[in-house]
Amino acid sequence: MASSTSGSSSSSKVVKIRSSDNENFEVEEAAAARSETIKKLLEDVGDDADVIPLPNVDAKTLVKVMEWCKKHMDDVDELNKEEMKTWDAEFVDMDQSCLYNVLLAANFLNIKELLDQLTQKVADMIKGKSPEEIRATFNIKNDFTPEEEAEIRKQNAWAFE
Amino acid sequence: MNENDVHPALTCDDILCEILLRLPEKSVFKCILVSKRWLHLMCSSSFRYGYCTRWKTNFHLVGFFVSNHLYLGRHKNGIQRPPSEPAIQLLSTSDEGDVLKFSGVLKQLGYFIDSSNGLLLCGRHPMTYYVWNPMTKQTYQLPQPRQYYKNLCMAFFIENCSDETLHYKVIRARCDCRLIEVNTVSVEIFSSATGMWKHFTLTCSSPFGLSPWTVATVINGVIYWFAKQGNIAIFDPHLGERCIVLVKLPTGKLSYDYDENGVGESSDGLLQYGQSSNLGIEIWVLEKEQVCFSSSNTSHKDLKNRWTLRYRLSFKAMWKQNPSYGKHSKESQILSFLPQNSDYVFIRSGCYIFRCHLSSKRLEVVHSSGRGSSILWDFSKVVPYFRPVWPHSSICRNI
Repeated sequence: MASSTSGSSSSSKVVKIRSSDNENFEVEEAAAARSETIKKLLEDVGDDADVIPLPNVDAKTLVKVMEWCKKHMDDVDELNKEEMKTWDAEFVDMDQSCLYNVLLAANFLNIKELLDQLTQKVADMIKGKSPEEIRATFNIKNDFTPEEEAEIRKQNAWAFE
Repeated sequence: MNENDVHPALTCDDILCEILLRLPEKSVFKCILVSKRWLHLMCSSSFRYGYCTRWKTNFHLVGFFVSNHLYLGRHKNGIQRPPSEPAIQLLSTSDEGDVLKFSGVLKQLGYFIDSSNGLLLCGRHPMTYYVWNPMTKQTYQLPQPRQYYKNLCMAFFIENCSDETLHYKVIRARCDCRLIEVNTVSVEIFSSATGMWKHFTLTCSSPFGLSPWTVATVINGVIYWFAKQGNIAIFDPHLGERCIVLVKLPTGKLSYDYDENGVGESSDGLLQYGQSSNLGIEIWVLEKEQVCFSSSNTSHKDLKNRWTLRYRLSFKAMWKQNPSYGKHSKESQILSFLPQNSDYVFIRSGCYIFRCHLSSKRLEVVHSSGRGSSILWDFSKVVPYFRPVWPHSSICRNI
């Protein structure tokens, strides 16, 4: 397409959102609307919206999420694809607790693409690890008895070949 | 939140599911041992469905069926099977195969014909056919076919269906042994959805004949039969045209003078064809380019079907790579492909069956029948029997 005007650039309307710890943020509507949840809320309340409360997301996490949304506000053209890939890779490279918080927020805010990137990141952390290593990585408690574990191994021997 | 707790993001089933769906099969199935929650999630049918849609079905080798074609479609004065020899012979390579072998089920099924997604098609030509389901352990006897074919070839496949019930089709096709030129073939199709046989006549633009006593390879509902004069006959029921397209098999350099060949499905869903001579194996895939079959009634030369060579494996180089098996270095041949797999191929050498990793030429013994074996390799078709597998545990029922 020759025209460079994308859907979002027509208005630089700003919406207000509030984190769970009562901090207010002003975000461009096009960025906020990357979240299906916020988009839906905006459609429901229309222009009367004062501030949209997001009771499940704290300020620190919200900043991260909105940083992503801003970057992904406009459609990416071919030239910027590589650059965007690098940016995304750097973005998901954060400490574990932050990663999980953003993951939970992306799930609640329903931002499909971000959720894809984050779940892929966690999947990459699992790849090639043994069950013990996976437990250690995610603080998961082994709730199998040794007998149960032996039985599962026996019944699914092919999975551990 | 306590530092030592699992983060809530990982206790949300939706998120956990999304994460696990991204793991390749090498990593994913080990995860059942992480915790009961993970085991549960992975054993669920919804996860299984999601995973198999995104990746592909995970198959497990149960064993190899040996069918001696001396007894197939034999005439009154043909060779009789000695009573000491079972009609179905299974070379088991797994616990499940051992159970199946000694369960007595196989004795009631007649001869082995083919398998698809774990279902077995057995029977006695030309009247009696059984389908055995390993999940339910039940046998279903097909109604009697109405067409009599003196020589025939078959096809057996599971239909992709959206709902949970499994539907399959069985096709019998006439193989004309007369030397007259015909460009039609009579086929009879059984559908488990209707429970009935239906007769069709398929037409080809040129004279052809299907190879008797063979079974088709079916990929996404498209049927590939071996045809005479070095052809593959392709029948795509989706096109609704009831026509057969012929594709000439590739000739090869190393395997020009081939004695064994086989077809299968590649990892990327294409037809793969392999043949072996005493020098080695060559494997091709049939690349599909858009061909319009639905034009007028003119001849549909499928010029856009092209064979692309994927592997050329010299047996000499293969044995060199596997010095410990070097003593077998005679009379090796391609046995079969693995389902939806282009990385490995089964090779037989003497009474050994090997799995060969094509790019590294590494061999691994899958079965050896030993010295006391009574298998007449030269007269037998040895077919691997795979079953789709998924983790399961009795613990899942107790939580």
